[in-house]
Amino acid sequence: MLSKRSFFGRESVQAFFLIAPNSLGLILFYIVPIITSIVLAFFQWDGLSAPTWAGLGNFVQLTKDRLFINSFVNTLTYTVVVVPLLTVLVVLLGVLLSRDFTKFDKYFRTLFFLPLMTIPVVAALTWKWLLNQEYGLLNGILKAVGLHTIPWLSNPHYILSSIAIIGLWLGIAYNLIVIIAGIKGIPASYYEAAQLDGASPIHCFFGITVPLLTPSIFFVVVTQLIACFQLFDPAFVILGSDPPGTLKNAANTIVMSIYENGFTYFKMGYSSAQAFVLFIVILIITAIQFWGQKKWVNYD
Amino acid sequence: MNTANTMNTKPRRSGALFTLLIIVLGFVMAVPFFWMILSSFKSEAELLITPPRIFPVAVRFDNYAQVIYDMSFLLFYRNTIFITVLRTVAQTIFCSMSAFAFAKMRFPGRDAIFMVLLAVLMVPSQMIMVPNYMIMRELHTIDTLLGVALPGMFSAFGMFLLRQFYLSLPNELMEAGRIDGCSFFTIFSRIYFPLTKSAIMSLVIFTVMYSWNELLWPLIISSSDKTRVLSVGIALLQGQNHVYYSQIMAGSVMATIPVIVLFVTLQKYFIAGVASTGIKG
Repeated sequence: MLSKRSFFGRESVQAFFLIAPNSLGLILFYIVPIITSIVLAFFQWDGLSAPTWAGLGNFVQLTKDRLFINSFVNTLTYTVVVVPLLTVLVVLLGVLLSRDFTKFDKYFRTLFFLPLMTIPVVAALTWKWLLNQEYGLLNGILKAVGLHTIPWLSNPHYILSSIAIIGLWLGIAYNLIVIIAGIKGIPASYYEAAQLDGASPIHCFFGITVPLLTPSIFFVVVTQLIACFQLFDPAFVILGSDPPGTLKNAANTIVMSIYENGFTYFKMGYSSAQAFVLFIVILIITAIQFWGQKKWVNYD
Repeated sequence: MNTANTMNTKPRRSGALFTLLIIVLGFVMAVPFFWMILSSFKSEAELLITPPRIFPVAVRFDNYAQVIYDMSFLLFYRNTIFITVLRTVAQTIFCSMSAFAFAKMRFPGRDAIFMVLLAVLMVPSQMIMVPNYMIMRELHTIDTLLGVALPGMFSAFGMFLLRQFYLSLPNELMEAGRIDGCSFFTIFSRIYFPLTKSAIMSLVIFTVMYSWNELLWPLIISSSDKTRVLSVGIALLQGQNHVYYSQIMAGSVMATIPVIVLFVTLQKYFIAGVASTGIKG
């Protein structure tokens, strides 16, 4: 009786009970699957029969797979375009929205946060309708002002840019919150001192705002790099049930390829090998983050 | 004082210009949102007018009625709410328990276990889809609501977010509880947990948004309407015959309303949560 009581009364025993539910869940549904996925990358498996050892076979096949290379190049292109654009846009908008110019500003600021409240699937569907070649609003406007209409979603040259527009629209609000919080953390006295010295707003922007905002900017860049490499929802909705073809090749992404190989073609091992590539890319970005943080982020 | 005055007098006109810029840019950002609402009231014929007309001829709810009565929309709704509530309750309880233990208690291997669990955050969620599908097959939870909800009921992010908050709470409360002879569980549930309301609110809004928005995992694990969530249901609407954009938009509006209500009521917790994760990296 007494010994039992002291066992359950021990701090470490109670601690293990407290961490147990979340830890066991994370182990079963995250850590075990991560390890399984890495192992599966070296096997050939249809999900039903026994997996067969493939060695580096899956990875060798990846280097020859036009579809996968395409999806990798598309994802990389998307990331390289979206991340810098988004960062610049968000910093400029952050400066614009972080203070009140007139008392009306706060009512209209909400408009910028509407995308945050939109389900990505819904956003992509709405954009698909907006960008419709014949009946879409955007081409309607282009036609009204006498310009040529653009085959946003039906031409391989435009489709990835159209998905990038959707990605930008979806990404601005969240990152804007990060940047505005960063800007509000800069002491007003810095600007007052600069103004006494006769610094122009542009000087203040590049001399005070940007340097002191580097932690927030860095956070935005890193998280967006990772998020862009995981692009799926807008591309999936835009392509819909399009059959393989030039349009699909132009907008396929790494995650779409992982999904299709795993759950349309049931090549579980091959799909895991692609997931492994994605994992390595994200690991590299994370490593750069750790290294870069010390190197050029100003935390003072 | 002096600078404040000169600041106020000179840029008054440019202040109005900036406000105008905010209004214009704000409306540009909001165009898709308004277009979704406007399109949801249009008839099929109105959708196909070129050039497109901005406002519908009349406010008609036919599209909404069709989506509700002819498609499994209410079922998707129910499924989404069920999964979201299950995940939110589970994460709130489980993450709080472990965050308290990791922040305030001493036990062997504490920091090592914490780091291992946190490493989950570095791994893309798409990597674990295939193995998790297999696990769900073993658990016989494929195409069940529990199967959709399960991985999202546990969270390394939530654990981390709450632990940061627990670290900021004083240790004296713990000592006081021990002197009174309380167990650690009582100290957690009676003393500390009630103090974490604002952090819990941040976690709740993150979990709800993630659950409401999620597409890939439910897409894999659900194979029938009886377990499909809104995002999957709406994404699959577009492939069906006799479904028009106005109906998809009506469904989209209905799916979005709860998020707006949630966001408007819990906005400050969301912004605080985003801002704190942003600064701490």
